[in-house]
Amino acid sequence: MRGTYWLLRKIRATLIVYWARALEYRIVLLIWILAMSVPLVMMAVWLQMAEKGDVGSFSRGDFIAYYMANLLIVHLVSTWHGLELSHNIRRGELNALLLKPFHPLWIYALRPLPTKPLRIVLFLPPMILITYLLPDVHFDLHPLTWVALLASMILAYALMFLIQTSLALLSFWMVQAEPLVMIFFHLHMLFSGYLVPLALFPPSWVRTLMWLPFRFTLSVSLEIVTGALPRSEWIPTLGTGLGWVVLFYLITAFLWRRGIRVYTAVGA
Amino acid sequence: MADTEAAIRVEHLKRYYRVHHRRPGLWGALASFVRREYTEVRAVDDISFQVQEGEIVGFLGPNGAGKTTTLKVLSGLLYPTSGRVSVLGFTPYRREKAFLKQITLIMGQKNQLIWDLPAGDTFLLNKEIYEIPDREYERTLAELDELLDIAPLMTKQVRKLSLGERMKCELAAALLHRPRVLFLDEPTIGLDVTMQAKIREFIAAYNQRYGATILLTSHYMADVTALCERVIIIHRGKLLYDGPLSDLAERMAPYKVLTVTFRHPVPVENLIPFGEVVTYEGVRAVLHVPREETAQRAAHLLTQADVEDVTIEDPPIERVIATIFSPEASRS
Amino acid sequence: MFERLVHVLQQKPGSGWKYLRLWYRFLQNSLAVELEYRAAFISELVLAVSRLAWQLAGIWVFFVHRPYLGGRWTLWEAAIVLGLFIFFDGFIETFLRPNMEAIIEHIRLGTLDFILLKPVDAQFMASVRWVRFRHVGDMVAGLGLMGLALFRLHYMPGIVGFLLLPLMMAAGAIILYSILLVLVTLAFWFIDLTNIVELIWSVYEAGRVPVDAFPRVVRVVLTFVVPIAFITTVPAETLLGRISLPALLYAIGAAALSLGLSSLFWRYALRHYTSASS
Repeated sequence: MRGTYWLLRKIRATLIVYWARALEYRIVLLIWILAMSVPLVMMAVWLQMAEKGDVGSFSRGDFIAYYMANLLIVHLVSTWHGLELSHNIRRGELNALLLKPFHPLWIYALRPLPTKPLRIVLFLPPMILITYLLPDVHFDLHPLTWVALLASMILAYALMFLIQTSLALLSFWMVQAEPLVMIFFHLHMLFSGYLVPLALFPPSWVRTLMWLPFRFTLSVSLEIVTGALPRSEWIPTLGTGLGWVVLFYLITAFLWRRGIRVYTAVGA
Repeated sequence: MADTEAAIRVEHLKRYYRVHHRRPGLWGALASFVRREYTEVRAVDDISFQVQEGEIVGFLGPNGAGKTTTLKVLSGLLYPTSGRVSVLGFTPYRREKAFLKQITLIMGQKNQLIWDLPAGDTFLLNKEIYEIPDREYERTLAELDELLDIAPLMTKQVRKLSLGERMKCELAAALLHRPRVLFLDEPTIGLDVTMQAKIREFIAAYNQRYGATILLTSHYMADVTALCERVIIIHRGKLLYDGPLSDLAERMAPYKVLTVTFRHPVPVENLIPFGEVVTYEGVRAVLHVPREETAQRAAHLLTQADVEDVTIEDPPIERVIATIFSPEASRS
Repeated sequence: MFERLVHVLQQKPGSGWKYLRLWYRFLQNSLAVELEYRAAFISELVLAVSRLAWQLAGIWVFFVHRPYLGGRWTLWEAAIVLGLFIFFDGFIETFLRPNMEAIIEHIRLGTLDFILLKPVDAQFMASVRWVRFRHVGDMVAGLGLMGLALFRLHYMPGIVGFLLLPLMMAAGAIILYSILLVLVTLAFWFIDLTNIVELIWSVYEAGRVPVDAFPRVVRVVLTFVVPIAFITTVPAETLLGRISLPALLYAIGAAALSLGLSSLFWRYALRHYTSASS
């Protein structure tokens, strides 16, 4: 109990510090947060294609709804720490963190969080405006949906974090784990629903994609908020996502324990 | 927890690792592309020693000697290749929370303070991380302020502090949790002379007040002579000397330094029988004289020549160290 | 970039060789640095393939639902556009970005003088100094994709297509270089630029698909305002033998104009800089 009490205090203190740091870098952050070109390009092409009729089950309004939710949520559930962590391990730069009675991976997990509220502040108003102005754009905003959405987003972030961390931890043994992280990013962009709604892949693909971890790092949240996922399927879907989280948690814990032994702590 | 239980115990510690190397130039780069060559580096090669609680021990040795590696093993950052290490009864590399809360490793010029924020913010973060209760935190902070005068610095952004001010805050941040064991790696490097003196004073005061065990490595003899009663000399991963600083000269350098000033210039040939003439300037000469015969030869010299002034000293520590390290072939 | 080289060679025959030798030395330096990280080198090549795969899959999904993109592009025709996009992405990363970043750093640190003091044309030195081989894989991948596309189309471009392609690609490269040069030159006045450059540069992503795939408004912007269309779509049309003479001339004209304007802007900024400092 005391352990948990102090753990929460450590988490809180870390978040505060990185929040303060994010404020120091307001301008840089602002610009980075505005990144959104790739989904917009994809949306533009779909919209042109849907001019004369629906594409799959998506109307023009559906595309706009999907990609807007995409632009907002993708940032909230993402972390890109894999490369940095891999780099730090190879360079022996974990020392300062290892000396403290607080697991270093917490820092990597918590650091991206303080910048996320900014994305909401910047993207939500325009989204609300567009939804109000355009007739064909719909979201499922039932209170229960918010709960499911929140749960899916927490799972998404956890999964994104744990998969990247597992790959990055291979740096304890491999000189080039970073390419693996990059390949994961590529697969993620394609199969998480970031580039393209998963439902628009060929049906034979969709059957497999529904089970892969990528779906749970973004698409599930988008499916919930756009109403594409029927309520009856929420529990089983989130359950599968949780299963992936547990699996990658175990992998991460295993790799860390083994890896820290061979850590060379270079970099005097 | 008997008093005779050593705070730090190292037994036959070895730490080896592999490094790859290649010849310079484009051709070397291509060759290494195809086949890598590795050499095994023996950073620490079978050293053993013990440190009692409250001691301040200095580690001396040239760069790459193994000092920093030893400190890293003791603080749990590195796994030993073989051997046993125990600090305060803990096995360092297990990095148990209770262990980490009682030690600190301070590396000169390395920052743990968060760059863009006031130092006070990092202090508060450390307070939580080390699970320091509020009252204790206030008290320690006040005491550190007394010794280091950091209160005015805490609200300034770290990047706006001068090097000396930053060092003081780094020290404070590292000591907020009142560790029982301090590992200091080159704590005064890069600082100006006044700052170095201040840091030394602080370390001594800290040791006095809290009885902390301190292991310190440094390039600067002044650090070691000011703080350490005991030194351990490490060279190429091996332990060459472990004992009192005062005995170092005696043990390691078999001569004393005789500095003589004459009233009239004395030809150099006259001086040779007395010892090794290191410096000769006509009216002044410096000789190295074998230890056991120093008094004898000095007395003899006084009767033989017209001496205005004479001093007899131990060779400077730097010279002793240099002697230890240069003709390595003669030692093992 | 090569146009400049030709220009210089014509002006001063002797120094032409000097520039060539210099450039060769730069190349050697950069290569030595890259080989040092050999595993990184190999893995970058692997990554280029991975990058290719996901990007191709990205446009392939469109074709699961419609036979044509923008009314007239089939999958493998669109793949040529994508191949050009990837090629130029690699081109930017290899030849342009390292120098851009170096120039901005020089401006920030005030060390531009090192370049200005060397007996070599400053723009050349600044533009061409660094080559980052790590991303050469992308250039190869882009060309490879184009070749693969031609193979799948069972299409062999005629002599005209083959000759015009490098010309159009050069025009595209020049336009790219000019846009980036302008962005970098702004750093003389607004030093904390790198992030804004990233943001503005993200418009380039639109070059991924043929410009015809976009709604009309976007198409217009991409052809006349920020001419991304010229970088990827026009060379692809050229290769497929679909280019019209007016479009060809417009492309060449745009390239020449943009190079001229951006170089002028650079020189102006340089004069302003040197007269301001010391």
